[in-house]
Amino acid sequence: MIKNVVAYIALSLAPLLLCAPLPSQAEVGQLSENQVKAAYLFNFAKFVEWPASAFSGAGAPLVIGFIGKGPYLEAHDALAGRMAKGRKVQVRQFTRPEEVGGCHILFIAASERRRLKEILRALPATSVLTVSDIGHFCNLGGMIALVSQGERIQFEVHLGNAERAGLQLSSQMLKLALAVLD
Amino acid sequence: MPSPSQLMLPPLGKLIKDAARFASVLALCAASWPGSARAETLPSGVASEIEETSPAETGRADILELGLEDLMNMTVTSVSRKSQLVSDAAAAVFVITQEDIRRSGVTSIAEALRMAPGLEVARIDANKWAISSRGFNGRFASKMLVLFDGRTVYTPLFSGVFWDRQDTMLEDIDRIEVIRGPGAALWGANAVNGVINIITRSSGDTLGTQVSAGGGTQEKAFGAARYGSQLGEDATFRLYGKYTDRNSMDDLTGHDANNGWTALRGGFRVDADPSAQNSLTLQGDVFSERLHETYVDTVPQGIFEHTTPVFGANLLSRWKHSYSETADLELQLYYDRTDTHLGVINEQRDTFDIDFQNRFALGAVQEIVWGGGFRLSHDRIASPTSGLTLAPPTQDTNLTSSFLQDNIALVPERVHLILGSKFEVNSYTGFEWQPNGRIIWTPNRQHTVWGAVSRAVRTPSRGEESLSLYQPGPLVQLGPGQPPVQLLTHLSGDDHLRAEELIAYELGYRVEPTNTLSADLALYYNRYRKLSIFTAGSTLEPAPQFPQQAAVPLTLGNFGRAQTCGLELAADYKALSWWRLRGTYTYQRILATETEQNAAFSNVKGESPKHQVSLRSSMDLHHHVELDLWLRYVSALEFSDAATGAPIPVDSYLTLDTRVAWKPWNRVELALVGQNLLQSGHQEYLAQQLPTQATQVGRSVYGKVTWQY
Repeated sequence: MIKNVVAYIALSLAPLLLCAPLPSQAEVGQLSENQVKAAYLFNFAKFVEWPASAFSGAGAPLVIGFIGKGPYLEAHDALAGRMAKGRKVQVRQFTRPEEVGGCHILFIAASERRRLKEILRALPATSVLTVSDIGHFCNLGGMIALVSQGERIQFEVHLGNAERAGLQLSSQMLKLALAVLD
Repeated sequence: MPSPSQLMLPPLGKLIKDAARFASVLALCAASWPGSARAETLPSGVASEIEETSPAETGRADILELGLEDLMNMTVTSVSRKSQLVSDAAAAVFVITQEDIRRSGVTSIAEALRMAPGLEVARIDANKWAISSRGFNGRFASKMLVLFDGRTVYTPLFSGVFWDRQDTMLEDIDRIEVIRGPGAALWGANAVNGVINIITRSSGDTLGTQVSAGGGTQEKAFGAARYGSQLGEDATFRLYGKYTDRNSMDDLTGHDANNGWTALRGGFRVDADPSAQNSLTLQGDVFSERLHETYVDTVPQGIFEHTTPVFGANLLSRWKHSYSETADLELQLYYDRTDTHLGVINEQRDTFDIDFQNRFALGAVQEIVWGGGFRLSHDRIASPTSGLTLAPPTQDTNLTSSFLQDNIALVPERVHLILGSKFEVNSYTGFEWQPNGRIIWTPNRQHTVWGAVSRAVRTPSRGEESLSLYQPGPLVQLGPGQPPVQLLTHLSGDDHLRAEELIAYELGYRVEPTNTLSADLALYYNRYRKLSIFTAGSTLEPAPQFPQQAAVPLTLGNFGRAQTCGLELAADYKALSWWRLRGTYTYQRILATETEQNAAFSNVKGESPKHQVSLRSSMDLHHHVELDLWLRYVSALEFSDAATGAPIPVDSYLTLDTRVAWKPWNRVELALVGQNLLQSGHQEYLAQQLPTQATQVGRSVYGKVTWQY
């Protein structure tokens, strides 16, 4: 009896095996949500222009900060020590809103939704690119929002908030954004 | 013990033909789109930024090589996201996500439930379904608890669920949790064989406007619109409206069986976070439906057509206060009203319910959850025909319940022992208690083993207590030489009915060998006692409402016992970044049934399918096209004619649903869905509770446009 059932299931699945190409090396190791978010931050570092005053000198590092339960570990593994726009990338984690001033990109995790206003108030007026996966981040004062579209992650940009902080976003990036708000 | 030859698989020739049809569809798709959906080019300037990497660092370099376009096309493994919801549960849990609902092309919650293992979903006709878990299915299958955002939706009239009424804008459903087996639900009565928990998204997740519309052959026309927005600083809300018009399904000879229906529904939801520790939700719906019915086997009319109006409204509020990460308090109140004229019975029902739940840590290794609730249900019944009456015409039933659960970390993060019990006092049977014990062992992140022993009870419904139903009976010859006489059967309830009891033994294993593959196995052995079944009296009785006819008296009593067992398997495999496969297999077997006092079971063994298989393939193709294929197999059923006892078979079926969707630009999605494509029609069930014309589910297609901004 079990043999019949197994034979039936195998017969239904056999056509699938005939069609499926063998997975390639790159495709099998799927990226997790946090890895994709870390990769987005690396890309934003490359496509955003900071004012000269944001860096203490030519050799100053580009600091990506994290607050909340976000992709800090994945970003640290993948990005720390890498080069972006000729600067070394540093990855730091903050626990309190008062600490967030010392970075160029700040990723605010969804777990920080309740403290968002506090965090944004604690930031200096210029030179920090805020990125988050909090719902409707751009409407809440953020610059780049990572949004889940089904099983994919896309991004929205609030140009007004970014320009007020002295940041210039590359037009190539704006073209790919899901939405560009003002 | 059934022998292998009694296994109701379709004949091998038909099987090969169906499998070949499916394979050719799949091969065609795979051949046309050979590559992955990933963009081929990286933005310029990237290569110069990446340092030389050693082979050991290839993993890190992979992330850095991805440009914005690559990232936008990358699908995140939701295999593990779902398994996070499930992995801590010491129960057979399956989660149907919003993505599952969207990509399968289903147009109702009842149809979405086909994706879960361990559930039998049989479509009776266009507006009725028979859905149960682990046996004992029927139009009013009584052994499942169904909750809609915490609101119990089974009808105390027959202890079953009217599935046509369980609806909302499907895009607003966050997930449907299907938990098979007793004991997993913390509150609510009736969770004997499982719980279905329909959870909608917070209004904060559905901001903006969404409009969808479409039509087709079975789904004649439908449209829905939803608007969500901020409400001040800390709150969000949404409003929705939805209209559906569904075509009637044909009877077994191919003629229209008058079972189409229309429904208009609307609702709102408000979510507020007035402070960091408090959250508040207020939601409500109102709906109106017109269902066409064709009743059969009614006395005295025989077959008659009827249009059933249904009106319903509900309002629910929920407040959650978090003391800390490990302690919280939840309070819920709701009111529900339904009003329907089924033709054979009319019911007006008001339900008031208040529940609370408190969770806190006790010492270093224990977590206690406890709570209680009170529900009052007030009804008014009218019997337009003398064939079916319930008495008294008005009744208030109440239910007071409480529960306590202790989660003990015997080895923190590795072995947990969960002991708990539900207690209730209800108007029918008084005090009932339902203890359960579960143990869960997680040797590492990849494996979970759990086991459980539980006791559950199912309290009698209003219908079972006070039923008086006449149905056509056998044709008998009362004496030699006399012409045969049509008898009636008179089914009566019993207001001394006690609750049905179940002792369930369950075992489960979950494995996630890689982050692209996961599998979930659940086994169970159930012992039922005091099942309410009919016993025949020894002498005919007169039927006062129908002079000149005598009736065989059948009285309901707790005369049944049964043992069942089964196996449920679910697997999820992300074969490629753009191709995901999900399959489920359900096996169930009624091992034995016993009765006392001349009682007889209806054909319980035959009424549940021995095997069910579901296989879904989801592909993300170039140019924002999605292709989903869903193959389902359900093995044969056998019913017994209520009057004569003759067997009525329902064939096994293999069917295929397909959905092709295209997003020509970001805000718009066009979808074309074909359902039940492999056969021109197949029967799935025979309704024997309030019997209606048997129908076949036919091949159908519909198109849908969704616009979002």
